[in-house]
Amino acid sequence: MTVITNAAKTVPPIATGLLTMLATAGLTGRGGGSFPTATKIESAMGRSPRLIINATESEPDSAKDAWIIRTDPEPMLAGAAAVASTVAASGVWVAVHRGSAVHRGWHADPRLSSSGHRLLIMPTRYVAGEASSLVSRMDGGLARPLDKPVPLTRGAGGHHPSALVLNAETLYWIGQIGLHGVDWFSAWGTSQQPGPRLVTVAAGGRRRVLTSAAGTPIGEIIRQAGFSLPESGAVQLGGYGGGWMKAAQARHLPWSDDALSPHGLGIGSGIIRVTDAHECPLSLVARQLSFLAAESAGQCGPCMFGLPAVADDWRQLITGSAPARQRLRRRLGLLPGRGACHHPDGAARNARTALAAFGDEVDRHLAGCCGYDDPERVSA
Amino acid sequence: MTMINSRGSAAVIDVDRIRCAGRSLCAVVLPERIALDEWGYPIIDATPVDPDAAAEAVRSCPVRALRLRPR
Repeated sequence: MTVITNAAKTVPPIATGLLTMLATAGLTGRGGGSFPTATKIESAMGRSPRLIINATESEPDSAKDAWIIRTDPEPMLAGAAAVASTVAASGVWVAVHRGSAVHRGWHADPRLSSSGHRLLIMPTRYVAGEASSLVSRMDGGLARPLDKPVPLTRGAGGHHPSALVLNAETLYWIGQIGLHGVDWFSAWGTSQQPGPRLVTVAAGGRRRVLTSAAGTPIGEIIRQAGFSLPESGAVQLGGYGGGWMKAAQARHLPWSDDALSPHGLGIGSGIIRVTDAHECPLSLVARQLSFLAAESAGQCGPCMFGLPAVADDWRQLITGSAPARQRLRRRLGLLPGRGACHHPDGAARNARTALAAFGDEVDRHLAGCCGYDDPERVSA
Repeated sequence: MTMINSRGSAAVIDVDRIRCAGRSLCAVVLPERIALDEWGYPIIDATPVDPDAAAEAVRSCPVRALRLRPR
């Protein structure tokens, strides 16, 4: 394996091949960040990074990474091998949540155990799946995000050896591009967001994973997953850290960041959740905001104090407090960008888009009504 | 407004959000760039500022959570 001893700008042929291939294909990260993959890998060149396959999949509604590992792991492993060779990785680890199906099934599956990759076992906490949490834990710290004035590939903020963290699905597509070529990959999707994508569609307590692509109408993806989107329903895009939209608005909208960003939404990590027609969406949001508050790493003041305050404001709002709406709006404005990771940003997006999508429901709650036959009906 | 001193370019203040403990001294030293939220944590205006004033704010932090980025 070629070892690059300094930040040399000359790159050996195999490295040039992979980086050029991925840059031409336009592959971006599939873990929610959507960062250009070729750029991220290039930033690790010459640093003998630890390659970490992120298979934690911390979003409760997501199932795509587990699907890859349990059903079709070979392309992911091939992608990891190509990246490890390109960057002269010092080793390859697979990050999993302790006790997850992926963790429990790893050693029993010869396709996986024969890779020789070490498992990096993370606690079952939401932010323990964040890329810098993996590095923190690996280097003997807590499973909590790090301050990152420079990227993880360059050592983050402390004395951390370089780490290249890639989502399991991102590596899966690297392997598939190697098998089928760049033209195959970029024939899917849009020019801004090329390539096939795995989607987890969650509805009625069930989750199904399918292959789709950016630009497909949201209602069509839900239909292909075998679920229905009732006219009175709503969708949540991107998990608990994502955002809400009413069914009527979402049905024909292309599933793409171009179409979604004017609404404060995005594809994120490929989750589409369909609400239950009988469930008040405001009580669902309340449960999610409480969850997100409880899952704060407790390291950054704006998150540690802000998320419980926002969850409380939301509950007060939906039990009829009009002043809670003003407090909520003010506090939501002070969450994005004020933590070491994007956990507070996600909580803010959840609440902000819910206020926008469910204005009618909020008004009814402020007037003391609900209108859904939800057993957990909120009352003053 | 950016003030440039005789040494050259202005600086941008950045905070290590994990190290920050909401001690709030920075906002007292540099109120034109740093406000406080209701819990005492800094809301930073990232507009470049006179590097001497920025350096004083950085020194004021008892947990050394502030740093300067070159513009």
